[in-house]
Amino acid sequence: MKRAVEALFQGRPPLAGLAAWCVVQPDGATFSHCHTDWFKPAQVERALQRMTTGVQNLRGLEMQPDLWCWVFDRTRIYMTLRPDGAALALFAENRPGLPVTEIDAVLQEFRSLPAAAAESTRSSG
Amino acid sequence: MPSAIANRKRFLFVDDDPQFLAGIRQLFTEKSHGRWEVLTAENHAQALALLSKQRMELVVLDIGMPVMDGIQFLQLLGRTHPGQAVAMLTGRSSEERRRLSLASGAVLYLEKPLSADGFEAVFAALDSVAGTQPQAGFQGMMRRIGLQDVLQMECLARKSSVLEIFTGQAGGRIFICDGSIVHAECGTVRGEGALYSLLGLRGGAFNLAPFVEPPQRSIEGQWEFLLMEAARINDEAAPTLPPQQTPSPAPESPALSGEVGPEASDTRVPPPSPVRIDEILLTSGAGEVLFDSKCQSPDNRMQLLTQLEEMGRQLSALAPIGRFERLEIRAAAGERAVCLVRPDRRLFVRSATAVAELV
Repeated sequence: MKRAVEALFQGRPPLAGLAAWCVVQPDGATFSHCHTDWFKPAQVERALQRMTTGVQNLRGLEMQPDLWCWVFDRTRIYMTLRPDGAALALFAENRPGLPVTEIDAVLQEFRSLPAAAAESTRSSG
Repeated sequence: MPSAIANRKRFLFVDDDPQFLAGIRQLFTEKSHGRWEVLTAENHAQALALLSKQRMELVVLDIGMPVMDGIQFLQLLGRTHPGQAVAMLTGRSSEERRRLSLASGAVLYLEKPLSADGFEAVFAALDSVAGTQPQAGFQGMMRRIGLQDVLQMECLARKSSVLEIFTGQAGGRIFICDGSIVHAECGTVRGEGALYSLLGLRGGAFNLAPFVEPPQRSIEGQWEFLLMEAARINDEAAPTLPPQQTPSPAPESPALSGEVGPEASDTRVPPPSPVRIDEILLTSGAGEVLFDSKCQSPDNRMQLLTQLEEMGRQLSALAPIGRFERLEIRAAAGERAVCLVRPDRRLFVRSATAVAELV
C-alpha cells in the first residue's frame, strides 16, 4: 500500500498547504510523510490512529461517512476510512484558498485503491 | 448626516500621557471636520477593550509606555488583531526603534511634533495612511460554496467584513461586525428579511470586502439562529417554488419581519434551496437545548458532540494542530453533517446536498 499511496502523491503536482499525510493500514501499521517540520511522523501517526479508532466508536451518528474533515484553528485534517480498515489523513494548513478539489481527489483515489494494493503492502512491509 | 457618520474613520491613540491624548483628540477632531472619530486609551488594557468592540481604521501607538512598550504592543496586536493597521508616534525616536517598528508591521513611524506645523504634518500622514490601506478582501464565485459557509467562517472567526452579493436577479450586502451579523440589505429591504432573501440566492458572485459601518444596524441575535432560520425558510420554500424563480412579493411571514422599505415587495427572491436541512440541534455549552429542528434523538446528538469535544481535545494534545473547532462529515449521496463544538455552544446540522466537496 505504501508504494500505491506514494504514487498517489507523486502522480500530481504538490498540494498547496499540505503539511503531512499519514496512512493506517488494515493491519494497524502506519506510515507517513511530513512536508514541513510542523509535524513529526510519530505525531501524525498517533493522531490518525486516535481519529480512526474514535470515529469507529462514535455513537449517535446514523450515517456511513466516507470523508471527515477535522477543523482546528491551525490545521485541517481530511480523513477517509476504507471498508478494509485502511485510512488516509491529509494534514493541511487551515487557510482559505487551499485546493480542496485536489485533496478530495486524493482521498477518492485512496478509497478506490484495489484491495490487492493493501495485500501487497502487507507482504512488502 | 448618516452617510457622513458611516464614512468616518475611526482612530485609536494609545499613550500614557492623558494630556497629550486630550490635546490630540481635540485637535484632530477639529482638523478632520468630523471625518475622524478619535478614541483614546491610556494603557494597553483600555486599548484592547476598545479593539474588541470596534474596528479601527488606524491604531496610533506611543512607544515609551510602562509595562509593555509600544513596539511590544505592536507585536502583540499583530497576533491578536492581524490586519489591523498600526502607526507609531513617539517622542523618543531612534533609528533602532524605527527599524524595529517597521519590521514588526507598523505602517508608519512618526515623531511627536513640537510645533503646530508638525501636528499638521502628522494629521496629513495619518489621514493619508488610513485612507489608502489596502482593501483586504476576497472576491469569488459561489458555485461550490454557499453564502452560509462564508458567513459561518466570518462569524466563527469573529471577523468584521461586508459580504457583497451579486446575481442576475438581485444583489445586496450583509454586514458582519466582530462575528455578529448586524445588518443586511437587499434592494430596498433591510434587516432579517433582506438577510434571508440573500441567503436564498443561488449562483452568483460575492465579494468579501473590508467592514464599513452600515447605514443602520437592523439585525440582532445569534448568527447561528439567523443562519438556521434562513435554512429553515429556504427548506420550507423550496418544494413550492419552481426552478429559476423570478423575483416575487415577500410572503407574509413573521420570519421575514425585518425592516422593509416602501418598495420592498418586489425585492424578495426566494429561489429553491440546494440544500435540504434534515436536522439541527443547538445546545449551550452545558447541554441545554437552545434550538431543535427535526432532531429525533437529541440525547444521541449531545453524546456525539461530547465525544467529539473529548477527541478534539486529545488530538490537540497529540500534535500542534491548534484548538478543535468542528468536524465536517460527508457520506454517500451528498449527505453531510457538521458538528461544531465551542465552550459556549454546540451545534449539530445534518443536511443532504449536491455539493461535492467538504468546505
